[in-house]
Amino acid sequence: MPWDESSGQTFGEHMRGGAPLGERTVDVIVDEPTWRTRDQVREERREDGSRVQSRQDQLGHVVTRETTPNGRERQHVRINLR
Amino acid sequence: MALQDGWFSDTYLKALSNDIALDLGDTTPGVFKGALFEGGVAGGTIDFDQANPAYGDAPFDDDESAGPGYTAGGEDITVMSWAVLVGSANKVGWKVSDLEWTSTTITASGLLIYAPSLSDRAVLFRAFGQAYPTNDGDYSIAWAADGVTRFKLRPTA
Repeated sequence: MPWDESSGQTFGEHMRGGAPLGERTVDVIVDEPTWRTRDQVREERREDGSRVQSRQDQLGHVVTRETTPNGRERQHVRINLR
Repeated sequence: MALQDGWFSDTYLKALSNDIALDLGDTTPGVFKGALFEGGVAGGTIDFDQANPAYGDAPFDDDESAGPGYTAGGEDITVMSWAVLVGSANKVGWKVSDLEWTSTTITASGLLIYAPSLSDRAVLFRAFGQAYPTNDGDYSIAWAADGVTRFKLRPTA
């Protein structure tokens, strides 16, 4: 959730999730950036002939677009709450 | 402002004051329900300090998701546990079953959890971060390993 200036929290408090100053709450990435910082997309064709594209966004939620063998377009959503 | 996660303070205070019989440990299906809402609910800014928040009362009398595969009022929730989290001393979590609506064509930006037996009293709201639409598809909600909500009861374990 992005920082909201009008929330009353400072940016630092927001980054610490409201934790007191000095408490380590954020994991620091010490390695190089990875593709994990982008939406993760997986595409496949199933045995029944349907084509599927799953996209996991930065919020962790997955939107799956499916084209069935008879051409029907479907879209599924999986919300992964933390 | 975008929708945010939160407990309703009135519910929290009254539960701990024994003014309402909120039993987070009741594992009977349907003691709690989850209803999907679109991003326009409460004008996008929920007042978590409002008195007696309830499903069906303003602002939760409007902007509920609607469409094929979804029935107003949402789905029953089954509590799995309300206990100290394993491996996390002094941290309690409320775990409930995942939710799924099948063959839906709806849009939702958040989930309201409420207690039908307490005059539909709202317990908490979880925001999805943005609107997520389905098209003739399944809408499912999965929870983190430590549950819907968790409380750290000591600053340090």
